Amino acid sequence: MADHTVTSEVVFRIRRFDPTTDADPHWEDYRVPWPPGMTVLEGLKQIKESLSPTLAWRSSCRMGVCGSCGMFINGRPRLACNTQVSELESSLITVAPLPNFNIIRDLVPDLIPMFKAHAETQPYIIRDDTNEQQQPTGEYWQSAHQLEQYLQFSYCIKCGCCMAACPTYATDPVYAGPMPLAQAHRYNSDSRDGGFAARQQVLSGERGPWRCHFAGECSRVCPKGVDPARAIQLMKRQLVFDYLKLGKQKCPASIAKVPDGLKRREGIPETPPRTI
Amino acid sequence: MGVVKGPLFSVGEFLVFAAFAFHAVNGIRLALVELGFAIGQPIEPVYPYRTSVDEQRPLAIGVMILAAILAIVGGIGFLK
Amino acid sequence: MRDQRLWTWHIGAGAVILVLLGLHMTVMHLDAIVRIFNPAPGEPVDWANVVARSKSVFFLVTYVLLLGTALFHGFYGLRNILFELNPGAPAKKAMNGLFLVAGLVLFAIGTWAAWAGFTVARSA
Repeated sequence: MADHTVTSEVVFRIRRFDPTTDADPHWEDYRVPWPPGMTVLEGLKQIKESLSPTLAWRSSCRMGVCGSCGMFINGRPRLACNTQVSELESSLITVAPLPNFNIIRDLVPDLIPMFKAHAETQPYIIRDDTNEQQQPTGEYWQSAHQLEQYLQFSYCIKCGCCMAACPTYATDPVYAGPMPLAQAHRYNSDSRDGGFAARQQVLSGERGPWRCHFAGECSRVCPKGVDPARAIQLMKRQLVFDYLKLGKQKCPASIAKVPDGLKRREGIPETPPRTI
Repeated sequence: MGVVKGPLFSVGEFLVFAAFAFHAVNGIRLALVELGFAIGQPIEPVYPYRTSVDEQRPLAIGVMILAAILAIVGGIGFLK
Repeated sequence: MRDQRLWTWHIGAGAVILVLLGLHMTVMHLDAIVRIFNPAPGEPVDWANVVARSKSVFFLVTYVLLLGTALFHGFYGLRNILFELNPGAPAKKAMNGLFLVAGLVLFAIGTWAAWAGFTVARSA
């Protein structure tokens, strides 16, 4: 185990708010030791263990894949587990809950509006062949090129950092936000999906991408490189071309069935017997 | 017609022309970008991420330079 | 629904205005470089040049087209800016009606003025 030599201390300035006792949020400072490689999340845990047991936040995987620990750290929405104290280049670390959301308590934002908007865009494969989806007989055919069209947007971990950074979402209660719109495009551009018309009900109106003016902050803060701004602009193109009837009619991917009458090639051994 | 010959009106007219120059050139950029044309293809994200905002930055800088040039060229007529 | 269609027309109108307003700006302000549209010597706003432009069917058509597209583009842009300030539903309805009526009225007045200029210039 490496020797974590404590070389210095750092001050965490945290936005505290307990709705049962406080009228408004307020800042509180905590001085913690700063071992090499400490993340902001580790700092919060240190504070909770030794300085303020009532500090509340969300976290889970501590490795940047679950999306729970989105916070406003030194002026930018980041994942606390993914943010090294050293990369902030300051001995004062300000930690606040994600902006553009109501605060439940301390660093815990109310993300229900984001998830509601997400559910409205029907973020799942929509196809006519429900029998096939319940009892699959084969896989849906998809080329590597078709995969590339949506793969980047599928890396979204729903952390809410993009929603916190979006200036339109900050001021406009009607706008759905970068995450729901980018995820709607993730499914619209998936060649296995046939739900473009169903999603259009939501996307062609006020809840759609029309109020996005490409500030691009969502893409700049995304911890997974999802680039929701790119998804939204590509979605605008898809919607405009659909209105002008310029787009190609997209049929959902067919099933890649194994052809009948296939014979095993000579020399390939049979499957070994099951051991379970 | 005396109003349109005054110096204040000339300044105002130049501002309108400059605003048109910027709005038009930036508008071309926005029409391209917001239809998803100059922002790069979806790619496998590899850190450090090059986002769509970075991809269109040369275009944005070009727009500002072109708008400045147009405004100056048009402004020559107002100096007369 | 409406936003998808209006936004598409907004971009299309922008592209049309680029050409037509560019023409207008070239005629009026870049005449130091391009003199083709101002046959008479002097400023583009001098009487002889104004009459020359008013007589031409080309300018009549392009000015009316520019007026229509600019009114749509401008009022839709203004409507967008005001709607993004989150007014209530009655205010939104009122603004929709106001911009539509104002746009149509101004288009009617402008077309009438262009036509009047055309007939006067032709008869002079």
